[in-house]
Amino acid sequence: MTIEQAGAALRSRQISCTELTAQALHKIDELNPSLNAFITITADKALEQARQRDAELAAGHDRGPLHGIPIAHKDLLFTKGIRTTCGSKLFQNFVPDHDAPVVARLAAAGAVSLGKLGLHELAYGVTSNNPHFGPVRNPHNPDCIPGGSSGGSGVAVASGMVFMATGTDTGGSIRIPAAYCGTVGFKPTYGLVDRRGVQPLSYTLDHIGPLTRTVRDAELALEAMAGPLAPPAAGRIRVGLPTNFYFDTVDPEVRSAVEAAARKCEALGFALIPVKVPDIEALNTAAFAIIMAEASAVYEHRLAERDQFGSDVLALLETGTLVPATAYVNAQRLRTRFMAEFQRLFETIDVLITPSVPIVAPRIGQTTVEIDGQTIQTRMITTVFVRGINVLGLPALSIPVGRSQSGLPIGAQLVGRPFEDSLVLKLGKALEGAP
Amino acid sequence: MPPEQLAQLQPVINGLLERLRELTRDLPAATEPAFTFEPLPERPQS
Repeated sequence: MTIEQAGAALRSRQISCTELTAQALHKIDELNPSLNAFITITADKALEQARQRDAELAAGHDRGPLHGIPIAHKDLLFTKGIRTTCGSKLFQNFVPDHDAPVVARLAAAGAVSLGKLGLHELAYGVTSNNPHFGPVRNPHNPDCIPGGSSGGSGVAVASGMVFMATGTDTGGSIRIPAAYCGTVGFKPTYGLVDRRGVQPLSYTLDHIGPLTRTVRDAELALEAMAGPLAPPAAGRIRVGLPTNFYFDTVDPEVRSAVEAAARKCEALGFALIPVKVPDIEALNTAAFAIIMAEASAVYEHRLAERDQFGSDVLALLETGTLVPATAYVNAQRLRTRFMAEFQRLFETIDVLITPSVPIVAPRIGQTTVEIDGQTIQTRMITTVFVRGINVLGLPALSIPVGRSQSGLPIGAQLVGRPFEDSLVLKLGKALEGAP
Repeated sequence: MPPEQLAQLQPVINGLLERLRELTRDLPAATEPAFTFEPLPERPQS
């Protein structure tokens, strides 16, 4: 069931907000012990909120498409009176005294929050194999990772625990779990969703967005999070298909599924245009320098507390302290150059289509994968198609486009111009609805 | 950071920094836009 379908059922009195919330809590009871999507479940608060939403509907007060819809928040978003761990021992007892604006906006839109979702420690990693709160597991194969850092968000949506979950994305952390779990995940344009009240990882790369089951649901959620979107420009959408980089080192099943999605664009009447993209490897180099310096700046004052960190996150944070200021500034200068290059690319196309991730979800603890006879580190290859897009601040959507023979989901990434989020969503909706 | 930890991490970062130096060596400092902390587009005002 989608948000739209649940909303229709609520308004026709086929189901109440309280019943919908109780069903979601039952699903969490059933699945969370094995999947570990939630760190904190707020069942009593959720049922109380749902009863209020029912009373409002009965009184004719309809808050809109998210009224009475069960959702959950990544445990990186501040929630008043509810523990916000950031997946870290540093914050294991942290209870904010206010809601993040995006949390408040979703509550004002009528959404019912069921709790806080697991993540990679401090959102600094892609496995969600959390040393402090346990591994989050992929619902399609519990031996596999769900991706990260918003792993709990992907799992909770994919397994039907909630209709929508918030996520954050600094180097792919919404799009990667969306791809690995088979959900929709949208990283909006930088700054579109208010970042205040969300524990930062990298100030100039952090984005907040929704994970949902359909693109339309992502659009509804984003409008609740950010306000109304400008309508997409009219006209035939020009879809760019990269001729370099994005299909060079990629699992054959992923390549095949994404190429099929690109052909579907043509079948739908959109223009499919082969394009040469700028140097993504160089873009990723700038991204690494920026995230490492900024994340270490955030946590420098806590680094002496070594036993409070997992080993992978501690290594990243300590390495980041070795990035000189000159390198950080030069990475930002490089960023400016790449933004100009992508601006030129987007003069010839409206949306770029790529794989979201070159592989399907690896097993928990799997450190390498084989592609075309090459052995590659899973951690590095997982972010290779998504990380650079954060440097540019462009809107980027991951949608499911198929399954591997092993039954694991495959995602395609759609990237658009700044603040043309609705155009990206329009293409996503068309692809999702096509046979 | 303990010295042995530093010795392990330094080679990792050196590769990144060398690549970054290669990439930025020819940036036209005199003509490029001024550096900003968040060099990203502003949301259009409606």
